[in-house]
Amino acid sequence: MRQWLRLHRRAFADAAGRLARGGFGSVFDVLVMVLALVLPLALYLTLVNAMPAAGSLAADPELTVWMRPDASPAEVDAVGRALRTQAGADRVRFIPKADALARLERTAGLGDVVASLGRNPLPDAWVVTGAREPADTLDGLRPVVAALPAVDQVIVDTDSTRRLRAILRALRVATAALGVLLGVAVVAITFNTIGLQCLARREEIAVSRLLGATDAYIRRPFVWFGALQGVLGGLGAWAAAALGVALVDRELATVPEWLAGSSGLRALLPSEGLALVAMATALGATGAWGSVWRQLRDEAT
Amino acid sequence: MIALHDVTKRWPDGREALRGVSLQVERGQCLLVTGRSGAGKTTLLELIAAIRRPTSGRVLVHDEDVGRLPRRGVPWLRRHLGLVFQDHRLLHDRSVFDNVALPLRLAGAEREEIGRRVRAALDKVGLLGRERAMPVTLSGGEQQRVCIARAVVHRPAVVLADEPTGNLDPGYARDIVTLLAAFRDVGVTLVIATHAPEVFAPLAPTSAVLDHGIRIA
Repeated sequence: MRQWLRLHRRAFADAAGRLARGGFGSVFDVLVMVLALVLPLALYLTLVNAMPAAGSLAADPELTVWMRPDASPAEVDAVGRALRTQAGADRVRFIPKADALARLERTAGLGDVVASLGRNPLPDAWVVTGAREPADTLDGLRPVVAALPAVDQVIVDTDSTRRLRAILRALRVATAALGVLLGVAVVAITFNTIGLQCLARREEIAVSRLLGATDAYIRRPFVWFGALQGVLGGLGAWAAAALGVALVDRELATVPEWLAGSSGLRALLPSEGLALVAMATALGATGAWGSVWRQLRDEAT
Repeated sequence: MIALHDVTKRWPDGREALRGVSLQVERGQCLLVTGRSGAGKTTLLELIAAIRRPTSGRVLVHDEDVGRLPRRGVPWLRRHLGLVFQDHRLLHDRSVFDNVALPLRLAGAEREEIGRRVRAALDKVGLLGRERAMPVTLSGGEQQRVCIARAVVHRPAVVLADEPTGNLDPGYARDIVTLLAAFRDVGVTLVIATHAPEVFAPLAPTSAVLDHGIRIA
């Protein structure tokens, strides 16, 4: 075990030394990796920041039941009980009129308007969440719910809401696809870089094998090199994304609060950033491993 | 220790580098493999080191049939051999120290042990003090001695040397023979391929003479 760790320590030192001595070559290799990682990352951040701006758009279809303003608490409870018995209603949530007014005041920047009102004009409401598929689960529920006593209005997702949700879903798929594609690109970049290194160190590899080097021994410093490139690429992409978010956020600060939303844009969470670095490391190591594997296979003696 | 039984090596184009060769070398013995260029001397060493595999026959090292070793077993075998190449095969971007240290690093030896053993090996070949030199700054004889130091630094039981005195002037050649004799005296088995057997007479070797891949004596 100690010997194994010693061999890894040496391989790591060898890889780190080569990366440091690589100068501009190493810098540009890492930069290409940063670019490949930052593109899907930017799309991801756009999506997570767009979700609240799209009006807390739920992923699943919703049906909103407005009660009459004069509905008694007993009538409101009766509607809630009726809703919970309906097939297709996955979840039923109550929004008291006081909460709705407070939220209006808080999120839309309409504090002054609300304060000037003599009374709360909003009704109590129930929100019913249906299954994601089929999309029209709640449509059939609408006339049934509308016929319940003390119900004023029943609103199912509008076409535009559905369209927006579909767009966001498509964007999510596109982000995932782009992430996979550019992940493959990261592997290819490392594969190529390590392939060139293998060629440059061909004689060393051949002599080492003649003297008894195992494939693992030869592969180790290259895999560490790829992993180190991945770490630097991941950290670079994280930093670039944070910088991008900060710049856009600064611009949005000049837009009125009711238009931009009350909270600022969010950058990557530490857990997401660490996951990004771990993924980039794994991709870099995978590319390096594959490259040396091919080289050793081609030059098997 | 080393035995070849009816070994044939045929190239893909049908030519035979070795045909039906048999021989045996005991521990601490020195075997000279002689013959003209193209006789199959280097191929014979390559078969013992599992650099190539025989077309037929058996090549035994320590009772292990190296011709049938799985690929994973080959590094293990080579770590127990010392290889001296005619063209030295030194790494020219590494110092003398790093070249000689290579077999020890492959085995995962500790830094202190590497330093101690490399200096001892360089002392044996008369190059102590030249650890930091780059191979390109050494003469042919010195490069050959570095190659020998690298072959013995991990104390192998068998040293395979391909023309270890080739292209060297007589003075250097004598030094190297003296060095090989010292290894044989401590029980190292030597298999030396050479086209100049008279140079190795002080080793009192047994001989195998090859001609066009066939053992004729």
